[in-house]
Amino acid sequence: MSEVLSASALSAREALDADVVVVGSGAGGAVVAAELAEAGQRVIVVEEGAHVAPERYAHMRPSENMRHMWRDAGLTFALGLGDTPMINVMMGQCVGGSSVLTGGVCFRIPGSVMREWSTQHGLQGLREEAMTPYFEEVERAIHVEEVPAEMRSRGSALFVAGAQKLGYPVHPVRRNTRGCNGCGRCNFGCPHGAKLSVDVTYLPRALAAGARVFSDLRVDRVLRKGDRVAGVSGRALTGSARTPGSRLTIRARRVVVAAGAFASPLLLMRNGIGVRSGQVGRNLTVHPGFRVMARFDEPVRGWQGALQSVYLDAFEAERITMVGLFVPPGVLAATMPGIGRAHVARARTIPNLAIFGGMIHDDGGGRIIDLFGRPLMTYRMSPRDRAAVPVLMRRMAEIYFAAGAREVFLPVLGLGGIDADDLARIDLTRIKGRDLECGSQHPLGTCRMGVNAANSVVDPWGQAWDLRDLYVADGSILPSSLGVNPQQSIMSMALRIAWHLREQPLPG
Amino acid sequence: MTERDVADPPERLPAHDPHGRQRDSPGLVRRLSVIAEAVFSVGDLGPPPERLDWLRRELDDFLSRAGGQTRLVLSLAVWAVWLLAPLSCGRFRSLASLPIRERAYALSHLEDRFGAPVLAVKALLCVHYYEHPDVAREIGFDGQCLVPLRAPGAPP
Repeated sequence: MSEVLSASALSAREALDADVVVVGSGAGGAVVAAELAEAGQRVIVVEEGAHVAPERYAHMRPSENMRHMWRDAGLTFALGLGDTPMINVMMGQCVGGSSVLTGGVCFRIPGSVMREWSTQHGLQGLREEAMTPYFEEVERAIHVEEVPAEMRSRGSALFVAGAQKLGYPVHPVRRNTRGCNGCGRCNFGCPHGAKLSVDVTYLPRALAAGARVFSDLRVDRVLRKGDRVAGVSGRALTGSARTPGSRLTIRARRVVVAAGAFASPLLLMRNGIGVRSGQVGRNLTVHPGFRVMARFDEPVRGWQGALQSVYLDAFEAERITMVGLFVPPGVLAATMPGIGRAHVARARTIPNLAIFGGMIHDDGGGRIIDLFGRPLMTYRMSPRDRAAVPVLMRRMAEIYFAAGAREVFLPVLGLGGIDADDLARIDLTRIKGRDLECGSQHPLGTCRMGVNAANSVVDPWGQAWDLRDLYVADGSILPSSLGVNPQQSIMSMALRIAWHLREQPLPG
Repeated sequence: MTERDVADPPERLPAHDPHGRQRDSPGLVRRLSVIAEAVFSVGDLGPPPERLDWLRRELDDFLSRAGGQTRLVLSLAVWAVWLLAPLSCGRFRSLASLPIRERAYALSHLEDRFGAPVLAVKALLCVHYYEHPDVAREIGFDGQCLVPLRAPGAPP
């Protein structure tokens, strides 16, 4: 994608004009850009992050990847309120967005969630039969396929064996890959071009259809003309410190905001859009995630095989989904207790460690706040979600012990490896939220869609209730959490909005 | 007492990196380096100086690209560890002035009682340290996709 230009190379006097400007180049924005450009509209995509080409990120170590391609170098936190842990919410900030940095797991929106949206939120257009064409088209465009059993890592295979021993069925995940060799680093950018993230699928399509893509541009203003949107303006970011430089303005007849559930509500609230509803930045859901590690006597070498290959939904009634994963050795080492000799000794057991993740289909309770110009993310777990955490940890530990694990490391600060007897003794419900180690890659819901301007930010087609021709098309519009990895859901919702926009004449 | 047992005075990074860019957090990197020496020590011995130099360069680059908010949170965590670790085990001296073995003991003591800041600092250190090819090799990690074979410091 050599056509991506850095906004820092543009002159402030340059007049930029388009039919549609798309703010954000991730799973939502890239889909909208490609579809509208292919429909003949003049499209400009602007992205706050840098453009890191696949041939460059292929050679980056994980920490390099974090500092070049993740928001806040991967260290964005949601402040836990009440008995809620601090949550590390990781989000992409690069051309292609988080899509470049996922494990590639693709789920359709679960039927139960779509039923909730149509019955409780009145969103009849989001019924399963209405959404199917969008799911199918996205699956075709990014080549969603099932991970074959032979590509499972030994860590995942052990988890599967333990789960089956306890009678829990485990299913293969589907991912957007073609020709994956299972080298286990999808979430730091696929080094082989096998993961079909939007930077190698939808964005090249958009460029081929004439769209222009500018990286390093932080949009902070939405321009208006009467009750309509008229474009956006922002500052070009320069240097490794990403210092704001010259201001650029893009005139457009339509604006599609697709900056993700963290940045989209900030842009809206700073421009007074949707604020009357009181919903902008609220209803944040994150799928609080907890990883459990297990040490086996045999070498596991969990980095060999697909990063994510299986999932377990046997605890859906308890709002828990478990999905396989692997993390770099440094992260594994960091989460094990010990300093000095004890730490070094534990680090040498990394080849014998297996790891699996569990996430909670959360009720929400998070919020993005603009605090004197600085963003602040907070999250308060509902009592139901909080009660699911000890259940999740116990079930995962039991599965590993059934698979023959020698000891298990729960995501609890200060708690070392425990054996099966310890697990039976420990009352996990008494562990305080502040002592839990929690992460998330799925922030959603902060500009939610609805049928009523009083309790939602955008209408059923993604248009802001109070500014015509401004649309939102990313994870922020989802009315509630999904309980599964959201990449394909975001793309399908964005596609639905894009096909709708394709049919709407551009404003004069 | 061995030669390495007595801590060297913490090295001060020059205010500018080799490319002439102003460093954002030389003091923070220096403190992190002192903590790293203990975290990755075995008995009285810290990691080889070459690895610590490499770690300092990596941390410096990482922090220069992290946002202000991230740097603030990390600075607070490092300060908490820096001040509380010696106190938590009754040593009324600065962390840097403690021999490596005592420094490790102090950090370990703090980790058992007040884990969050220690975890934050350890995470930052480990994420970088275990990417050093020699360290990866030592722990039996050979995932070349995650730690590409490249000379330390060579650009991607």
